[in-house]
Amino acid sequence: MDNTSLSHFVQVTINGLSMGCVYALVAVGYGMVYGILNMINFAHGEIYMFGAYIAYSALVCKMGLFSSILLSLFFCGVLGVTVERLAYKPLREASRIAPALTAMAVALLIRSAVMIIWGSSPIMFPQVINNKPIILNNNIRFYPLQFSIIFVTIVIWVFSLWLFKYTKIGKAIRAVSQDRNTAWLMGIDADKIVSIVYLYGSILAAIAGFLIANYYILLFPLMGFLGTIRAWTAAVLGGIGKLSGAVIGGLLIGLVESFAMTYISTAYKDVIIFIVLIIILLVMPRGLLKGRGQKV
Amino acid sequence: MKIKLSFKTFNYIIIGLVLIIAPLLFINNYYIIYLLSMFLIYSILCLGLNLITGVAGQFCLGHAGFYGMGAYIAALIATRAVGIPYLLELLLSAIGAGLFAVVVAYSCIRVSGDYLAIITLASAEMFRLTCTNWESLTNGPMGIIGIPYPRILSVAINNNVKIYYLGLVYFFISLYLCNLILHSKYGRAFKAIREDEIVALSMGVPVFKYKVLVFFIGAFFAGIAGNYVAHLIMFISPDNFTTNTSIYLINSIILGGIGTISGSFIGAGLMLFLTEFLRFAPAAWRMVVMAIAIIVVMIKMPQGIAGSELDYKKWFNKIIK
Repeated sequence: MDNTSLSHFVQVTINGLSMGCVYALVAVGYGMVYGILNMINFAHGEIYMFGAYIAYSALVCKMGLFSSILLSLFFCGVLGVTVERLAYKPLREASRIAPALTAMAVALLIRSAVMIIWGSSPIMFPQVINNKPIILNNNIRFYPLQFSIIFVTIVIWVFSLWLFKYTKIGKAIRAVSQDRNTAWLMGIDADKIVSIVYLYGSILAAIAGFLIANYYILLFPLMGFLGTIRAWTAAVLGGIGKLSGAVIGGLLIGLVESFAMTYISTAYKDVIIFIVLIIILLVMPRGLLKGRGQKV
Repeated sequence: MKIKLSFKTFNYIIIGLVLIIAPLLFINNYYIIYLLSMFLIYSILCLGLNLITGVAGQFCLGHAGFYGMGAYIAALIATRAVGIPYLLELLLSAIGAGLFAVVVAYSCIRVSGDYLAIITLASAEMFRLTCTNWESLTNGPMGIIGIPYPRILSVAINNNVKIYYLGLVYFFISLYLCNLILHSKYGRAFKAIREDEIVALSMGVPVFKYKVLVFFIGAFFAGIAGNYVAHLIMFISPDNFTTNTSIYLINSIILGGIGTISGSFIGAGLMLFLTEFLRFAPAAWRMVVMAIAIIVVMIKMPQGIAGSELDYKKWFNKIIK
């Protein structure tokens, strides 16, 4: 491998990693709800899209960077908990497939609301973070935003793991995810825990939405749906109910996408991702990290 | 001999009569007849999907792929290989869709639950992307245009009312076949797989074989629907077979009542009604109303409409006594 193709390879890897971290960031929030309620949350991507739009409006109104992030976190948190209370809680005891449908309906609702408020055509996100590429030797470009996305993903991943494993609330979350009724008997307010998980998941979604909007500089209502599908794929690939699985799955998808795009074909990149997914699930039927098996 | 009329047969007779008579009342209204034909298509699709997802418990998010396979085979044969008779083409598209589903089922050989859902979703997307990019065969995103009306033996199906009745025949046949399957040993085996695979296996049900079989049967119906839609609209493109279509179908069967035959067409009808009835409203507001309607129905009837005990059912039973 000569020098140019090597630096090309490094460049593709960097792009793939940052793209993978974008997916991982959405997938971690998704995986929280997915792991605990074992429910396919089709609305997660819409919440992240909503967060990005809120941040856009705040920035357009000349609010500061920090306050617009906070505003979008706040709105997404409120939205997540409201949706949980109104649409998912009444179906807690129903079969697994009924809440999946209400989740799809909620996703439709949020997407339509965004279309009504902000319009359905794509809009440019104001570039607020300085994103001048750092050019390393061999002409490898490394954008500061890529670095911050990777950094934020790692921080959120570690923090979530810590929260999940070593805190009292994490213990309660694990108890609820194992058996909700027994958790109730042990004096855990399961409804409250589920709400907290939704709040946390929505806040993570808002952070992801903000970073992704900055990265792609483009907002469109369908990005939520695409995000949901990618996050779900990542979570399943890593293993259902495993937080680290979501991160690894997201990274893998990003890398495969980047390499397939450069070395094979842009048109067939999704086909290649799906082929990799099917092969991995054939070899490891419960994902990379042996998530839990389940039925509908 | 006294014929005992059950609630179910009574409903079926009413629905059958309505479907036979309705187009005659609106014979000049192209739109209504088109809607009724679409209702038939979605009902057939939902019947197939309900066998896979509702009866056998395999959460399939790739039904649009099977549907698209049927439609593309029909369109390619009808436009490129003109000599082939229609009935053979129908059989080919149904079997083609079925074989595609068998391949999908084989790649799901070790997985279940959401892992299976994502593989079915992935295969449908792979099919769609291939159709989009293989331009020499499928004309890419532009789609295939000018698919002719079918001609069965010497009978030319050459207007919208006739093709509606052709669809109605398919609908009744599918309904009948579904009923047969559901009440046969196969139907019971599918239900056993849904409830518990290990128990089914120890009772002597060849689980894997039956899983492949149920995918084949469900996709067979989807292939028929795909063939029909190609001849009805005379135009198909990859955009008709996206993940959204699969999700729409899943929505229909959950809304109608999962695992029930009547739920398939109730759900198909309701979803079509919700999307079409609100046509006058701007697109985004229409979706808001639809979403709220779905949420309310689901919260009130988590089992779907056909799965719930409705008041008029009791009322009917009272009258019949």
